Amino acid sequence: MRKNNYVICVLMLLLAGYVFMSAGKYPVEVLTLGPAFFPELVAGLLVFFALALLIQTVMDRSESEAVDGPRSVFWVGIAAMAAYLLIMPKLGFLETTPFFLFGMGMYMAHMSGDGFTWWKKLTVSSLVTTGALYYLFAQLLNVPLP
Amino acid sequence: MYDSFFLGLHAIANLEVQFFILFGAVAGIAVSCLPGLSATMAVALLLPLTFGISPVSALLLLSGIYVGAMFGGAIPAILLATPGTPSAVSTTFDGYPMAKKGMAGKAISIACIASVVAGLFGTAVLMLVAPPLAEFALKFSAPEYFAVAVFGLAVISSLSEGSVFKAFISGMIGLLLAVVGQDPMTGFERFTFGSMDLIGGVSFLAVMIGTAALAEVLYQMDGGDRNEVMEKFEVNDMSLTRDELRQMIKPTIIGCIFGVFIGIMPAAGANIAAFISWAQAKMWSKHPEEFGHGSIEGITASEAGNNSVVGGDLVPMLTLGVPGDPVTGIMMGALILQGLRPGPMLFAEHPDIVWGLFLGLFISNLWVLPIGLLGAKYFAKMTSVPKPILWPTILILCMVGTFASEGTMVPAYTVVVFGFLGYFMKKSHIPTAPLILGVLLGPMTEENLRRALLMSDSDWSIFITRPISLGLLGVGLLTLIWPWVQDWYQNRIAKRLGVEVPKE
Repeated sequence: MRKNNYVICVLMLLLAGYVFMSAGKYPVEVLTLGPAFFPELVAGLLVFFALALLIQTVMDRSESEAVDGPRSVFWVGIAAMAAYLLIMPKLGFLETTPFFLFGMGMYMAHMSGDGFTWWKKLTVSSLVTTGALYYLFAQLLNVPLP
Repeated sequence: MYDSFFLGLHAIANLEVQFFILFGAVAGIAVSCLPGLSATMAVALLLPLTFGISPVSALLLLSGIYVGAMFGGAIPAILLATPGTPSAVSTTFDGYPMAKKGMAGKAISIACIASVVAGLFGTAVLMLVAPPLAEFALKFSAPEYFAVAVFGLAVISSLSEGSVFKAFISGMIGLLLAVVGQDPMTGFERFTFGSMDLIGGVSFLAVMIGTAALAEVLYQMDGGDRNEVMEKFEVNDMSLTRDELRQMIKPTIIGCIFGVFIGIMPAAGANIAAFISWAQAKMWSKHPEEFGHGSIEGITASEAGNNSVVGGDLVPMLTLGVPGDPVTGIMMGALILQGLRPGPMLFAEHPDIVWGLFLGLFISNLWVLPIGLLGAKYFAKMTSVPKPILWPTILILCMVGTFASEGTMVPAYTVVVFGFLGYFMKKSHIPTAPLILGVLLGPMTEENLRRALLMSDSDWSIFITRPISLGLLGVGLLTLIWPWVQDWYQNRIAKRLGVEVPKE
């Protein structure tokens, strides 16, 4: 966690620096305190809290558990969502969603050691879920889905 | 007040509203029984359903989910010793031992009755306290509103998961996200990177769903099955004897009073209310030795405590526009999406919505009784919905729900970005709730700070020379230090009673 906290502090200081740099170029308006006033104030507070965290981390001598990185299921989930959002507007909701639900479900079942015993259940559930969501959004709520 | 009452009655006297009240209560109980889904997630996930409906229906749908989830969390807590929502942690203390003794059905009946009574009590208090408070708040001008916003932001200290500085860092990121888009006073574009999609600001719906729901799902998917598997009990005989009902009276009263009081304080949530009610009931009980081993009084106090919170929680959100916890934060988001600003003007301009909500909340609570008692067996089945079916469905719901908000893909991309960000925040023990609070309170803070300083020619003493503003800043300071007082008190009673303080 210690290393992690240092990374957070550096990232926050960089973010605050970026805000100061960008806001510094905004027009100055005396009457309304200008559009830069509030972002700079918040960035200043961000610097304060980041430095406070830094000091707290340096002072803390206790052994802290290391933060382990994400497992593959996280990256697969993110990649699958990114792919879904790219393909869905082109192919359509009804054509893409069952594949996402089935594929992601099979992957999760596989990861938990159940292997391919799930395929029947997942085929049915992904079709039913897609239909239910389509009915809910497109029919009941009148949201035109791609 | 009578006029407002009848306006409210008129607002809910139609089939659409009644349908959404019922739907909310059922959905709240159902979702909280699903493994890993909290009340916050339930409200965030179902928020997109509110776009096409009237503000009264939308608010009652969400508050119905909240009310339902507060009870629903007790079902897995009793049957599996796994609280469906964090607020049901104290319910496991006595609920699971009761199930072990073969009284799972009775435990659910007790939880249901206590929840309903406390929910009705909380709503009655809300109805009595909120209107005069809102009327008082009508006197506020910019310096007071800024002080209210500071008070709201002070709640961040109670949302920390370890380091309080991390919670404030999260809150500052939220405030910075809130400045993206046009400056409210000059119209100047800030941090839009030349994108047309950012002129109106970051979609805060996507931020809320991304950090409160998607990040949580990704986190749980990543964590795998780390929970130890407990023996699951079936729902059996649910009837209660007269003596058992009599035992419920005292702890229900204790739970009602502590729950609603803790709910009104923006710095404390339902899990704390449930625990303190449970602990107080034990102190006042003639049979404290039974607590933790299947005590009827214990389960009653815990469930009464977490349900009376709902009414109390809504007080600061509705009257001042300051959400006390993530659930009311998301409900406030729903109001803003409907084009309404919570705060005293809501009471003056839309009494039908406010009173419709009050009256509808009574009905939501009443619905929980038959749904909970008759449906417990079916809801119990939901505790074992397999994860390969549940998680991918929620991922889709997050993306499609945000797409539905504007009918374009941008919010759907945003939700994934914030799910990703929220996941890493959770991994690093940076709570995501302060970020939501920052995004919601950002515009109010900035506008009123600048207006107040305009009024005073940039003299900052305006905030401490006006009595109401000074008083509100004082309350803000108390809110800021409240978590330490609360920890001290919880640890003290926990030590006295020989139990562990439940964690968030």
